[in-house]
Amino acid sequence: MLKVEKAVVAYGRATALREVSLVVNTGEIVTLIGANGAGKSTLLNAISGVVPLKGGDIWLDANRLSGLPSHRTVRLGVGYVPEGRQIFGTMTVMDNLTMGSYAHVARNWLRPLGYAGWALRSDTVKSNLEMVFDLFPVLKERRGQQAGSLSGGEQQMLAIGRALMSSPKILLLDEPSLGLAPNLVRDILRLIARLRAEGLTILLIEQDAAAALKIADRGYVMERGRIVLEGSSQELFRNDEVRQAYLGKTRA
Amino acid sequence: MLAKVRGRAAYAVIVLLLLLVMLAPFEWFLARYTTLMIFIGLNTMLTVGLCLLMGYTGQVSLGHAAFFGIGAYFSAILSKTYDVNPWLAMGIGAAATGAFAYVISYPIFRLRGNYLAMATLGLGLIIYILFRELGDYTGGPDGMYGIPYLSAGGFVFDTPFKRYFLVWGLCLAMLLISQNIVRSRSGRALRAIHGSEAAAESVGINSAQFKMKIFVLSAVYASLAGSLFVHHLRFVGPQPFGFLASVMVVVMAVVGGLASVWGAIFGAAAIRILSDKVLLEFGELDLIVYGLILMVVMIFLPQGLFVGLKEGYARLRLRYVRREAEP
Repeated sequence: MLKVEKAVVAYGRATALREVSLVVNTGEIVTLIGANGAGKSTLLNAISGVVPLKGGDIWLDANRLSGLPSHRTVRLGVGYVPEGRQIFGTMTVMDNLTMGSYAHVARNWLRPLGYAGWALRSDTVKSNLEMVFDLFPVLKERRGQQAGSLSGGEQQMLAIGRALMSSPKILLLDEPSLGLAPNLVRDILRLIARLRAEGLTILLIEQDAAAALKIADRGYVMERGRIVLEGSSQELFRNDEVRQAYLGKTRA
Repeated sequence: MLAKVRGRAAYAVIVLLLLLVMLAPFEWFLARYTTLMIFIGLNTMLTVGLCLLMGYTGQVSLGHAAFFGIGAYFSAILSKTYDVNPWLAMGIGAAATGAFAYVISYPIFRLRGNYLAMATLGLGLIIYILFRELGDYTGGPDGMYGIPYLSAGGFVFDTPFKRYFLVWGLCLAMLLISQNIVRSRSGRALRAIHGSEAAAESVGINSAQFKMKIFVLSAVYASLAGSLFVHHLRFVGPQPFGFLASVMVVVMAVVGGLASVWGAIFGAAAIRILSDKVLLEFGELDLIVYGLILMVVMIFLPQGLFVGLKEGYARLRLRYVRREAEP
């Protein structure tokens, strides 16, 4: 279970998060809804450790995440897919994926063997790789290809696959559908639902609030660095203000 | 496929190096080029460190000559003034330079881009001024003479010919170490940092630590080169460690190709030969020529001479093959 308690983040003088509290239960998909600049990405950045907290606390199960940089939180089970994919363009698809398990191999006993240890690979890495290739058959086809030459949708799959390679307990997804064609957006969302079915916990930011609420269990609405509304997906879906502001629909 | 080509190119360079080593004994070569080759070797050591730093972590250093100088002065002062064994002095110099680089990496890597470049530039200037002003230890602007030769057992490196092998042996070792780093897991991590630092962090790479390690390694390379430099010339003065020297290393790294270890030899050789054989005619204007070279290479061979020539060759061959295939 991910628990954020009164998290405060400030960039210089501008406060981006004002005492935000939220909970993501194990096995849930929770979505964050809000306009640009509401603080959604900042919240994910704070959880993964990209930006430091000015106040408050973040816990994942029994581990305290607040104060840890992101190369440490990934070892505690935070899988972060940053906005804009950020794949390693000059490396092959396969290398991108194996880099995803970097944290695993780093704490592996094979580490002193260096390159040889890397070649042997641990069983976790192998089974993760199989799982990712099973989820994204296209990545298996393109495993020798340079990641930068993949299409936008494939790059997004690679970014998610890379995060899955670290065997995360929770997956933080920042706008996975950004810049993708509508049918690809549907594919990605369907895939997120499938990941949950396999036991993963997911915190999702998604521009298309209606589509996100369809697969999410619960949602939080953010405005100007605060959480202003929370509820189950159905409740939010029926809420008039949410419908007007984020779902683009007038009163039913 | 790409790896295969890369591997073959590396072998080509190794064979080339071996050829050079075998060429060296010829008298005409020895008489004319041994000193030049020693300087190319020393410059390659500096350049390969900077290639790792700039090409693989994406950090800039405009003060690399400072580390070169610290190694040089440590060797000179310890082995001449305090009669320390030159090898030990070299080791102490390298360790001290590494420690210094480690300490300053904390404040300096909080900066990025142009600010980082400015900070390293300032650092280089400060160290240069210290060499000149701490006259009691360094001999000031006049420098120090009579630094002993390196020796191993009864074998003294007293001729350029012997030092040629020493310098290139060490240089080759550094290149191989660098090559190993680049090809290993750490190398992938470095490339990942270069690709996207945020994403690299998100998969568990401690990017700050990696940058620091490479920075320290490149400083140690430079320090060792500096030590060999003073034991070769048997003289040390502040002049070779100034701003121009730092710029030259950057030019060599860029010309050789930032993200290529073996390119460092090409960059160092091209610029060294140019500056020793051609640019003397230009006098003070040589800085302009370096600037021009930097611009031209950046625009037309952004990956450097090594990769650029390789790709040019591949393109030529492709054209040739196509012409053959035409009916």
